[in-house]
Amino acid sequence: MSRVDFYQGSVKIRKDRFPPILSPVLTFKNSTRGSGQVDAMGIPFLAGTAEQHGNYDGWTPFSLGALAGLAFSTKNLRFQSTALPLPAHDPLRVAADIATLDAISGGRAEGGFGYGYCPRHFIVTGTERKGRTGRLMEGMEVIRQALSQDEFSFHGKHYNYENVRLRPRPIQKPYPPIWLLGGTSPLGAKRAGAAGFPFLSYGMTYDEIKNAKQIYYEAAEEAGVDKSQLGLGAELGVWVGRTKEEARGYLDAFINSHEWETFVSYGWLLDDRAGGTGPSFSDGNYVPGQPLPGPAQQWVDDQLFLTPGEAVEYMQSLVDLGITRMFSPAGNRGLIMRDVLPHFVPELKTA
Amino acid sequence: MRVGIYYGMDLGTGSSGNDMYQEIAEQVRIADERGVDSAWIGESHSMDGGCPSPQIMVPALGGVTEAIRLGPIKILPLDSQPMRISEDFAQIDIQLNGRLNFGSWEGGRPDDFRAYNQDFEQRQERFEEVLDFILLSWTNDAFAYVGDHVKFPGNAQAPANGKKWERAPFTAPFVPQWDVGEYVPPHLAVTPKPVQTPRPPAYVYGWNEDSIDFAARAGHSFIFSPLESGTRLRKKVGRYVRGLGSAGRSVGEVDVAIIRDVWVNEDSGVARSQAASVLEQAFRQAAADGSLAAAEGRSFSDGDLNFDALAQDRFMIGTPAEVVDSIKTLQADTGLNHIICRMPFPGVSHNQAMDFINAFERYVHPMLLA
Repeated sequence: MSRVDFYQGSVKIRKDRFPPILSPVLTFKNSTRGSGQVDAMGIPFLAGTAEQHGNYDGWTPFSLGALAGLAFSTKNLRFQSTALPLPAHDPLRVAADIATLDAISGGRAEGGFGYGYCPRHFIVTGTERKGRTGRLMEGMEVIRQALSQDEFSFHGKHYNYENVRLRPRPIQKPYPPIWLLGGTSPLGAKRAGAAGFPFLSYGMTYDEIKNAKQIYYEAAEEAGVDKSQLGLGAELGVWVGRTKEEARGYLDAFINSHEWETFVSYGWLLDDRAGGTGPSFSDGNYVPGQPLPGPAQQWVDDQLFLTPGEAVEYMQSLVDLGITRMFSPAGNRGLIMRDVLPHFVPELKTA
Repeated sequence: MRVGIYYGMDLGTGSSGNDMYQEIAEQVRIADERGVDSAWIGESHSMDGGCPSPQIMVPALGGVTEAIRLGPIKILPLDSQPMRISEDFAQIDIQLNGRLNFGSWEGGRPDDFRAYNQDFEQRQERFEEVLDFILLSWTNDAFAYVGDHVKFPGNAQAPANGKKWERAPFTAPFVPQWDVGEYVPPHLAVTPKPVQTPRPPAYVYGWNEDSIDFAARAGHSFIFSPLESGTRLRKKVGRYVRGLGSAGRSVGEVDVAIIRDVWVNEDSGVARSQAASVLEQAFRQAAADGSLAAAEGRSFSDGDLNFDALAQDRFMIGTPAEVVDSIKTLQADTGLNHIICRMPFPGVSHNQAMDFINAFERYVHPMLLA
């Protein structure tokens, strides 16, 4: 039996375009109510929220603020922005948000940062998409220093700060965990390892995760970073049902109600590698089995449709690989909570 | 008469940093239950027990309250990306289901500006432009703003109308976002929009006459600082009210909000003994960092900073009847319609703060409404 940290809670604000149509107030209330129920289980699950900027549906532009709505009303959930597009932000401002959230929540805040992908995210905040990798890694270093040093100065290629004292000090020592999230390539693992940040992969197969692990630790070893902060996590791409067909049905429903919009409207998995071309809402809703442009279809093809027993076996193989943090499998939630997660979260058996 | 409580977040820490924030949450929750109208959080940097992100604290308080209006009292225009302030507080108004009061000011501590690489000397014009942008972003769909301190979006061109901003021109046919590919138009909307229509109320905080004149011209409510003496305060409020009139506005459009150091106990002596040392310390701190001299327009000697000297023309401390009398006198002199009690917290204990909230709502607030 293993101990793994799972993402279970989430907070969302958006104008939900799919029936039943919900106002942003209701999407927020519903998601916080659900996360409150997760918190009541008494287990330090992770609550996260994605962040978008300048989109028509008003999707949560302030992930840490959304999570802060749970800070005083919960006791166990840990809060992480999943992911905050750091190159579009002032890192000192983000560090102040994390420090404040950590202080008021009793040490339950984490940073979770990504490169950002949607051109709109950058233009709306007056930043540039070009150079985002350099700004991400430098910004994470600014945040690490702001959170861990009594006073710090930083002079980099993109950011400069002089004699800054961030208060309040975070409760977690030496500083709240700062994850590089959503890496879809080994290069992300290499950057995270070389800088000494924990790394969570997104959309990687078992073999790709295994390869990324080796690259990650080799880069960390070569750079001589503080090993206490290293760690690996994975977004699973696992769908659980009583049968494979049932599990596949959950993916189709998810694409219809959520991910289709993420593809065609935000450009997720399209703008990077398909040149901004692809399907449109104007062409109609997603039809199960409909072919998608390259990277998005690859993501669909890489999803795994498993029974509970198969899911436990696959997830255990990742644990054996050294993965200590996972997105929860999706699909039949009752089966997952009863037959899958207790294998990795012992307290669930008595919760 | 509306009643609020204010946590400056600049009086140091309690016995334990985290307990202090939890205690503030509990006090605001009780204030919400008892009927206090508003609770306000200060923004302070580089200070133990402080709060550099009201953007985090305010929604956190929203999670444990139902009706009380919440807000930052003095958001600083430090963010290099002012649209982040727009986004943050629009989202927070959604989280609060329309209970946000938005307070901001030009700033007063050079160190805060230095840390964020902003020019302290340009703070007033930056503040006015940033607030102008924020309020426009909450009430307009796609638009562009090109000023001296704000450019939105990043690819915006200076408007052809000679103003700082313009709405997106309508060009047929309308093309939805999902059909424009990677192209990002030079007019964008800040999303989501706040719940309150047309937008959350804007308050300007401080003592600066330029800010008072700006707020009057623009029709923003004003929150007067607790640092100023009653005599000086009355003159400042008079200036604000005259400014409103000159701009063709009515005082009925705005909140004339005044922060005072208010403390109530059934025993006047107990009230003084509970609040005296922490208030004296707070004013000594304000004298040391220059804000007291800036607010009062004069320097203070050590003798000016003892409790009795300060209390003569500033504090409202005593029995409920005495405090009601002080507030009503100030109301008659100024047109005050929103009294905000600065909490001397964490200088007083959590239990004393809870007793104050209970006593104020039981004995004072009803008399102010009578």
